Amino acid sequence: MTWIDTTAEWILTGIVSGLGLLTLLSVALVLGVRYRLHRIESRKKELRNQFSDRVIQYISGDLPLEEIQNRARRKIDYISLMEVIAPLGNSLDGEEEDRLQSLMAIEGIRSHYRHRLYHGSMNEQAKACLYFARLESLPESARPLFVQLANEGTPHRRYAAAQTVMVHGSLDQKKEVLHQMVRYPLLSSMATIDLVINFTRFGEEYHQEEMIFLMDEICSDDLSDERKALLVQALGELSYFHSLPMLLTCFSKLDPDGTHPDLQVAMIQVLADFGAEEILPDLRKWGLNSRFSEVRVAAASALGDFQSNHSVALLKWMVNDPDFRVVREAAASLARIPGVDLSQVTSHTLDPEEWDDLTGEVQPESDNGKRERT
Amino acid sequence: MSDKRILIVEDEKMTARLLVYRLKALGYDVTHIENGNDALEWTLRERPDLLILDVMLPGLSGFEILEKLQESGELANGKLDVIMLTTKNRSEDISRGFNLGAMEYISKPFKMDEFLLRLNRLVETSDS
Repeated sequence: MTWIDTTAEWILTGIVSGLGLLTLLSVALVLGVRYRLHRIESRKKELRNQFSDRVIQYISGDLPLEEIQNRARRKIDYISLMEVIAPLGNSLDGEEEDRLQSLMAIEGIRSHYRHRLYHGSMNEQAKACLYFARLESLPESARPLFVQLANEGTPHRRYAAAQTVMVHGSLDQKKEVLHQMVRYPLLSSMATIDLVINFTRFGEEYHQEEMIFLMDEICSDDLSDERKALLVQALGELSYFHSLPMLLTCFSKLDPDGTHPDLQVAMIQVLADFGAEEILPDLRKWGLNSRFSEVRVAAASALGDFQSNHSVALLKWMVNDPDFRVVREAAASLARIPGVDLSQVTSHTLDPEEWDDLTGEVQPESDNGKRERT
Repeated sequence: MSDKRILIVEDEKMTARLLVYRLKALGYDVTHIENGNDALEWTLRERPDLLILDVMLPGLSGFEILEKLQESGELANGKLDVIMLTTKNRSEDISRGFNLGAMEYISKPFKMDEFLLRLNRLVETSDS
């Protein structure tokens, strides 16, 4: 008897052997790639260690820039160097920040990120945009590219390019990009507010016009309530008190039974921060009746901001709300109103022990004046 | 030269290394810890003269460390000076830090000269 004696068996053996060989090759390839990645990472770590001491000496004025420049010659050097210096940008100001800027702008690093702007991955392009946003200057001829990148691609890449425009663009370029980003529905709330705030760093005389643009957008029918809520928050973050009459008008037109609570919540928070007592009657109504617990939470918190004795009875009622967050905010607001003794208040929502814990927890918060929003 | 012992509690490595470098150059005995829990344990055990404390930390936050130190009496009678170092410069955070016993509040980004000036002034005040 032989092992293989038919054509079919020969074919089968061939297929099995081929598959085995292919598997071996795949495993070898994966191991090879992993080994290479591991080597690159080890090399980067080694380089980061080598660079970090020199960077610290250079930033402190104890080493000339050339000492680092002469050692950074390859792509991997520039990447490692940027990994070392990038976090320092958030910490340093003055002379040290100037030195950091000179280091970040050395031709090798600049050229590396210039190429990255055309990389196949949008994530890499976004990193490159953020690099240019951190530089002190950008040639005028390079700016249109960032305006273009801010108008297409993934939200992250758009945001990164928009940041570069906010730092280096002309006033017209900044306006164009800001208007597009405000209307771009996929941009996150933090990113939108961030861009608006960065725009206004340009200077008081320029940002008046933009504030009017934001207010027009809030009043328009073109934007969703969620986007409008972001713009209201941006006005609040910027403490733009001139927007108060417009916000009050919009607030009076809000539908308490609207489809989404975001705009109501943002309005309540910003108007309370602006000290607009005109909203107190509506706050009391919404705190009691809104079908959105988010709105009741915001109302309970805002009632504490105004510290009005006329709100005490309502807040005592609100500690019975079925939502714990409303109970908590109402208790915290009561604790902030002078003359209110929380130990005399009871909640039907919580058992006595939980209520005691809560009142103990919210009491110290009132010692610091205005509370952080939860 | 100063024989003061300083603990830097900061999770951003390069900022911490820069502070260590500059403070060592001034003759201080400096230790760096990244984690809030380890920093509290080290402080209670080693009793440094000055704590440079970031607010946002892995483990206990800067505020939580201050609360624990206050409870243990470490902050009483000026035994330990504290500088809060943070990106947050909101008035609530600053007042919270001061209420918990911090003596200085420096927000990032900071000028190193100004930072060192305020630190030296604090050390001199606690010496006198």
